[in-house]
Amino acid sequence: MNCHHTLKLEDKGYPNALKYIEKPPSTLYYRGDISVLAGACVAVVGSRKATDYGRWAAYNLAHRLSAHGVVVVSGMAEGIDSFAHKGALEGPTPTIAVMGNGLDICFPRMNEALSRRIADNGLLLSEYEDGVHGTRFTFPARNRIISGLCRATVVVEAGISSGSLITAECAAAQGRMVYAVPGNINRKLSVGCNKLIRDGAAPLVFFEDILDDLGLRGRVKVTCVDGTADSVSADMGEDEALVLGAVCEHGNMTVDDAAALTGLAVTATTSVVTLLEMKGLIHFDHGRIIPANA
Amino acid sequence: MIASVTTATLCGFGTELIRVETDITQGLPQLSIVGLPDMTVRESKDRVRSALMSAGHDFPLRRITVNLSPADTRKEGSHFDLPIAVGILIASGAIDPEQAAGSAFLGELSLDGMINRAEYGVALALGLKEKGVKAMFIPEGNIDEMKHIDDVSFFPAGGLGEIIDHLSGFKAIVPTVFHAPACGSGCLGVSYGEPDWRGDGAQASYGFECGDFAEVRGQERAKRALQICAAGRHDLAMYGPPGSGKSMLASRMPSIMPPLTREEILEVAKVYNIAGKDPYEGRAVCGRPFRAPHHSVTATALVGGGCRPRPGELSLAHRGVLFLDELPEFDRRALEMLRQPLEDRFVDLSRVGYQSRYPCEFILIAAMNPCPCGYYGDPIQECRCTAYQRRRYNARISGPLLDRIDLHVHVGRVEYSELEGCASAGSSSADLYKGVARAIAAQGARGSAFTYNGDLTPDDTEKYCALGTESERVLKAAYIAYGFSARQGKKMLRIARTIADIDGSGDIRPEHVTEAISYRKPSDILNTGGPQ
Repeated sequence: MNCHHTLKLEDKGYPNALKYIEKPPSTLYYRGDISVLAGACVAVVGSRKATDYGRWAAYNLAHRLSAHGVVVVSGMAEGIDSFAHKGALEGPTPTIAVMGNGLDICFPRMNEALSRRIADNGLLLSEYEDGVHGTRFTFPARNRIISGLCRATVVVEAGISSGSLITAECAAAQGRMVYAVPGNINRKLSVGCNKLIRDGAAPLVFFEDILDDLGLRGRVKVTCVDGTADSVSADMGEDEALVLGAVCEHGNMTVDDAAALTGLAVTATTSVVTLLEMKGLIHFDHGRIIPANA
Repeated sequence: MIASVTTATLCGFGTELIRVETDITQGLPQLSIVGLPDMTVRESKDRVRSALMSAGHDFPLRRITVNLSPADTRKEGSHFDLPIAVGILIASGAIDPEQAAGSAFLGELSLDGMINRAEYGVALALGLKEKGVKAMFIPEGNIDEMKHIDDVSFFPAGGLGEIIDHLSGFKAIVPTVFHAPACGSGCLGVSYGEPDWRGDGAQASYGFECGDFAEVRGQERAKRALQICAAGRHDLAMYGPPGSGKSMLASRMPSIMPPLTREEILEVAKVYNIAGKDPYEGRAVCGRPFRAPHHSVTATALVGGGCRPRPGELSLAHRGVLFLDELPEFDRRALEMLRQPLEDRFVDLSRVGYQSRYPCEFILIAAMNPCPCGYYGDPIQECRCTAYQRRRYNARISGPLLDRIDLHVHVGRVEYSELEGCASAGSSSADLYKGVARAIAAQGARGSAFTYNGDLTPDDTEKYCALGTESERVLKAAYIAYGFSARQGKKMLRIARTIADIDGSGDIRPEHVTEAISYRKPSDILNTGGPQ
């Protein structure tokens, strides 16, 4: 576990974007490929608690960014952060996780497999040396590094007192773009994001917005986002189009709802849902159907 | 003269034929019983003495030896009183031994010569019938519960005097013989009995009323899953917030299950009898048991046990439904005990001298909340649990246990408009049973012995669940997309077979496969997964 390296403030490889923020970390400990820092970075952060909607948005946004060659930076916490990393790892571009503790400690423990994947396919960063445990002060402090590395920060889902709002504040203070994913106003986990929008953050209405704003759209590496589409015939039947249309129009719903809306039998709807899921067009989770593509 | 009278004793779940040998010799007056009698049997000599004298007979004032053969089997039960009394009568020359030959005797005597109900009557009578005994003298109190045992002459008697009169040719007891109804040939789906309880011609003979599925609004997907379970004997796990109708759905399961066949009725009656319960109590309307043990149940109460082993809840649910509500609240040790019986469909209990095997072919229906507060994944109510709490809660159920459950379905909250009933009431039990009956008929037509799709062996799965090219392609894609194990893949095949049977389709079509796949184990029950 101790095979990590250090990067000093005066070293040549130290990222410029980070050098000029307030209180740049004097030493960075890292594991993985340091050249990743040279790429265009965007932070995708959010709360530990996450709804289906948040997980979906984090995963797909990161996936889309990765497909366009953008390095996704996040904090590897539970919830939104984990899904941002997972989405990015599905794409061709490496991802960066900035930790609030020493690199020899994996926190949260459930992300051990994820941290290994990131070390193999990207970069694990921390300003803390081995053996330092995360505290209530280290996590907010590392947020300045997340925002400092990136040209833009996207807050996917945040409650009223979420730590990701600190990241957004840091980003604004460092003069970087702040995006927030808008949500329903009656949901606790969207209040933070909606407040950010009220206070001047850009609402993320289309994933592509951020690419256009940063001028990154030209650097498309792959166009096919879908890995499974070729294994099941990608052309859609009539019923599939009907169900997908209903799901895209009405947001997430149960199989019973979909059957009622499309007029298909519940059994037929169930089969169609599985087909659509295998084609990567929807997710079926906790009994609810969620559209996979915006 | 040595007299020999036939009776039987319980030996775990089996029955052993016992010969009661009686010898009367010169010597000091005494009655000794040998051959591993337990306390109840040992005490029978005092009951026998008084009962004989109350019935108007002398008790021989000589040395009487009673041997229970085979001598190395433990004998238990108070039903040895009657055979011992008859043995003494024969040995003393009061009764012609020819009269008692070929018959078995069961019954507990009271001091006034009356015969009390024998506790394990059904189990013993079944065992005796298996061993070829065609005539049985039983207490009057037991005659009703014998109604499903055919081709045996039962001689019910209220007192010892009646039996003595019969055996000495003074006044015969009229034998009762039960006959199997003409249609009850043992094939599933053929029913007999009176009340037409489902309104579709299906009839059951007894049992408590359970509700109709029409009373559950919405939840069509969950109803469909239950229909598949009833049709192919698959196990089901339901996840959902409190109040979404999980228990309501499960309790209506018996209303779509086929009535028991005659053989099954006897199997279940035997289990209940040995458990010390009324052989026919606690059955649902189709005659099948519905057991819903509370989550404080101990491991022993669940699988069975005790120094004289008795069947537990698993066996009491034999041929019926075992409903475990609030699965994570059950004792972890008790739940782990489920693993082997779920695979093998029997429970082995070993005690000194013997091992007994209790059947437990039930449909398992497990219900649980997705997290401690119950609202994880709910579109309206916010979940209050941390990811850690949620993991801890779900980790109470081991992966291998969930892996053994065939179908998994989320039961979500029902919108008010659905409750209002402005939408149609949805499927009723009669609607759902039509599919079940089709599937039962299809399964019966396949192979030599009736096997539910849920019980198909790997070889039979390959034989009966062959896929066409298109279906094969869909399943292969699912293997890749969801990372199925070989066991899960086979499970999907069996579920798809049942769905095709419900449809009345000989081939398993792609839509059957995709529907089966939709009931797979959710990836995020044991970790907080998500789209991955």
